[in-house]
Amino acid sequence: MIHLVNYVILYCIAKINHERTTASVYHLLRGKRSSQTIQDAKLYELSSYFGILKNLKRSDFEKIVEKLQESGWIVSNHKNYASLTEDGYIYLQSHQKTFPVEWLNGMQLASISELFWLRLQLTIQTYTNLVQGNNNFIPITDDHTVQYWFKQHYYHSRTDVRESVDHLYKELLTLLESLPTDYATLFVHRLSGYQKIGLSLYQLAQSSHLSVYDVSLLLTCVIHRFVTKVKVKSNDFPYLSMLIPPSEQHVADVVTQSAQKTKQWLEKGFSIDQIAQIRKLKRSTIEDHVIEIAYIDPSFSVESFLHHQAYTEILHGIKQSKTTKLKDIKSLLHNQYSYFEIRLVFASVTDNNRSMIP
Amino acid sequence: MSQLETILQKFFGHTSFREGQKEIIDDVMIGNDVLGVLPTGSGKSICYQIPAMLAEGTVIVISPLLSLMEDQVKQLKATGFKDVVAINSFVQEMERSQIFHELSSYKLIYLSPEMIQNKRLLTQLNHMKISLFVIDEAHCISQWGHEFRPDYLKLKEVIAFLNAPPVLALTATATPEVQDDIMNQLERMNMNKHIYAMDRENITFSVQYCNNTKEKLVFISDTLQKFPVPTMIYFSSKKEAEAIASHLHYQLPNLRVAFYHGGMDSMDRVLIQQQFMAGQLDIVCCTSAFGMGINKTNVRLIIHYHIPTQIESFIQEVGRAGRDGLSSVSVVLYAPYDEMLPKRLIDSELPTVEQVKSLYHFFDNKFQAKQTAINEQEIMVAFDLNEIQWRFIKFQFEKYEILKDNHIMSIYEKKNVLVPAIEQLIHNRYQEKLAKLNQMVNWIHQQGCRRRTLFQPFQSTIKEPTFYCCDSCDFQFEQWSPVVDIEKTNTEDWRTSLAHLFDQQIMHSDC
Ligand SMILES: [Zn+2]
Repeated sequence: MIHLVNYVILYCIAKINHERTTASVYHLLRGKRSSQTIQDAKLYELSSYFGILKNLKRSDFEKIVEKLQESGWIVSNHKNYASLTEDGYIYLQSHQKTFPVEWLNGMQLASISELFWLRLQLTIQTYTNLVQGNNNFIPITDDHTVQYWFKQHYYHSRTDVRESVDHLYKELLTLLESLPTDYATLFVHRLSGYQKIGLSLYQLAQSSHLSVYDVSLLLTCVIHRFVTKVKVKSNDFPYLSMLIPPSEQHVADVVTQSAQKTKQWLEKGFSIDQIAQIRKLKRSTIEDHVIEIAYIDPSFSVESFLHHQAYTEILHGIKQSKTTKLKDIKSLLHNQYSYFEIRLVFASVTDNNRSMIP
Repeated sequence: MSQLETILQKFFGHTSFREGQKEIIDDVMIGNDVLGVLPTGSGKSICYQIPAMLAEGTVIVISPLLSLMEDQVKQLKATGFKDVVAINSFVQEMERSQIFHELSSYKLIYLSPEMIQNKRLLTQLNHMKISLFVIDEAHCISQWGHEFRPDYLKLKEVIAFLNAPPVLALTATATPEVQDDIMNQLERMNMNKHIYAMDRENITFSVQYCNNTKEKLVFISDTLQKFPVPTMIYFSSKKEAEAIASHLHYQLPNLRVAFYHGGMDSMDRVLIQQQFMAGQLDIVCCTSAFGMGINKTNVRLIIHYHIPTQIESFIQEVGRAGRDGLSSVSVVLYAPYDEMLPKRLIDSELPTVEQVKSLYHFFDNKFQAKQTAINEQEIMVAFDLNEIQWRFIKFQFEKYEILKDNHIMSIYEKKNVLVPAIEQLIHNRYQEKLAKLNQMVNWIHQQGCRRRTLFQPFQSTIKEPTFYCCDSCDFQFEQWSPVVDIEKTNTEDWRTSLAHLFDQQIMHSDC
């Protein structure tokens, strides 16, 4: 049987190819909030996989890696640096089109879509109960912030319950009809509402003959696709648009707290050196924060840190060097630019603009 | 209808009180101290929930069962009683200070025994009007009880600090000995006792001897094949609960089987619990984590795949059957050497003497190095202690004033006193637990009436069974004819399922 989770891990190992330990893949999939993980994601063009499997257990991850080894798809040394074998590459190649991994957009959507999904489930549960006149039900999520959000939303929307149910249904139907039947089935079976309690991940796995992690991943693919579609065509999905949290929320969820403070100082117009002085931190720490923000915040602009000409020269250098090693790039550019400046350019380039890794 | 009945109807949907509820509420409302022993499933919680709605001020409930707390808060909110909150280790720091901020606006506050030690919380409660102080699972205060919790011994001081409000101590299982001990420990010897019989007329008891695991499995699938009724199967191990659930899933394709244990993520736990209550599931393979908040009336069969470690928990688990009064059966499966697993469980509930000794030395060194603050998580990992073991040691160290507010105090030469004392205590506690287990095992092996022997330690009279009594008296599985009210849900395609959920007409596109 083909496992999506195997495919994903194999793909990540292929990209990282001996430069990091396999543990970095684990942190990436779990969406660890650290500068290292966030930078790795960008560096190895794995941004879309960031935080897509938050429920992955360390022991399970290690079992899967072991299995990949036994299957002869990867080889790893005793320090857990792994790379793909020829068979591994063949496996990846031949399963490229089996899974909708291109729907994933972890770095931009992982936390937004998780919140969207919780909100959607609670909204559906509440409205389908209310429309049947049932006020007695236990919310599907224990998350108090989501429950609070719903109260606000319900209070402010002031639309007729029947109308809300009909709108929600129409918009969901449109989205679901664009999916393969299997995926739509998983999604609908997970939903809870009036006289219908959704299936647990394990039950979904059982009914679809998949592993629990595969179900998790497929649902994530579907949610990411939905969020992307709703964001792009918000006019077609007015109701679902209201359930998508603002992007600031996303930045706040992913960026480390310390980096967030730096962001606030930057927004007030302070320079890196000034912030370092105020916060009694090293300049390099503040630089790390800036890089972190650059990776995650879509509205971040490098212009205040780098002249246009410098930017194009560094970008040219990166493209020429065909490596991700900062040191090589730096010397190729005759040590004209600092590591910080090179990393900034790295951070600002989208994955699609680069293709350096085999 | 009286005011009490109106509230009962409005918030709980019942037209009349169950045995004991009204008597306890009346007694509590006039400010008396009450000790209530009500069997599982009799709606103990209504005894303080209704006073919370009516009385001026706030009702505090101490409960060690975090998930039960959460369930009750959810259920109360679902019925429209919103001034209720649970504060325990699940509540995040930020949310906690928000709750503390508006503490006096709550009518009913659930607290874990650890939480009530919080100084800030206590000070704030001290300024509020506490109309009633409820101790749920009150048997935890007694060393003779089956779930002794050292934290509970501090409640006496807490109550005094809160200006001595009336106390309601509630439990589902307490022998007369434990009842006295509860009043002793609380130093309230004049509590009004409301003791109700724990045996339920509609439950039949039986034991099935098996030679091995395989026979257990055959018995379960044969029985469920013949009697497809809502069933709970109790396990002592998460792994086995999962494995047997999966086995039954394939063996019994006409029944809907799932597992439940504390290791699952919270949404999946909610889903399984609600599926079972909504009748979307027939069989749940579970650990004792399941069932506390379960409000399902038509569970017909309770199977114990592993023997429980004590009679008391067995009675509580069996008490979840047949709350609608219809015929229900309890079966305990027993195979040779089945005592080994509960023995191992008992071992895991106590620290070893070696662990105590090395912890003592660790603290001694730390104190001499002037590093007195301790990190509980780190200690548990470093000394390979689980939470129950650590709680045991911590309480003893606090008693001997080696620990105070998570700081190491001067140790000097306490070792000579402390180590032998704790060693003795571990030994005694182990023997007590073993005795409890033996009581359970003896019950399985004895030949007399199972109902009589099970309930004799707790009450003087035994009720007349409505259906069958037990397998020693009159019961054989072949004769059983339970009400079978399992509905079959059809598997629908996603379009139909979605349309149903949203109450929409299904469009047929087959034209
Ligand atoms: Zn009998």
